[in-house]
Amino acid sequence: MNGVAIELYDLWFDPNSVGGDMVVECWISHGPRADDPDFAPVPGDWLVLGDGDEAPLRARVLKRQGDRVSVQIQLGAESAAVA
Amino acid sequence: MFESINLREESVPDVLVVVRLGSNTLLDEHLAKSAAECHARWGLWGFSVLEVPDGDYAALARLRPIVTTRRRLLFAHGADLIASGFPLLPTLDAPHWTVTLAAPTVEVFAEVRSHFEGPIDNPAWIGRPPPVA
Repeated sequence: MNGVAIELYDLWFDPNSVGGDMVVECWISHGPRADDPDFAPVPGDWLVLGDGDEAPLRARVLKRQGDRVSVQIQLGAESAAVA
Repeated sequence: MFESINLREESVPDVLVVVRLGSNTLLDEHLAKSAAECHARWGLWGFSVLEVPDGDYAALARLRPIVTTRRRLLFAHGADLIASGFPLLPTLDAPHWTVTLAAPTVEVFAEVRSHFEGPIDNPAWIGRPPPVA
């Protein structure tokens, strides 16, 4: 297991759970902003996803139900990775 | 309230190679999160893995484009997992499988982790995308 630096991101995601449509459900409570009272994503917001392994990716919020946020990861060149 | 588990009509093939994307993905911290999310959804402890169809990583990448963004991955043999007490369920759409766990404990995590090899370079990795300015 290597030690890739963990970069800043909004939500933790499991890349193995990402669907073929690039949609994945994330839990706010599992991410680095779990204790941030100002973090209240709504559909249409752009967020940064990380898995503590690779460079974070951008994703757009599709829906939110309390702690759970469904997002669609964007892999386009203009939004693929966050430095 | 749990979701119903809709299993594909698919038995575990004689040769089944499953991968877990990322090199840190089987650390206790990550497995605990994945297992909790699996349990909240279906009422069972487990975590996601992806089948490599006929050993074809390009085919896997077509089914799951996220595969192209992970440089490293871990892999295991389905028969070995099952024989060691970790049943595999054909959940969601192919090539997704769920490795089931008896409990989300560090002991169980260590045991299941011992059946994965790697990390190895991901044959389907397309390289790090350019950073956003």
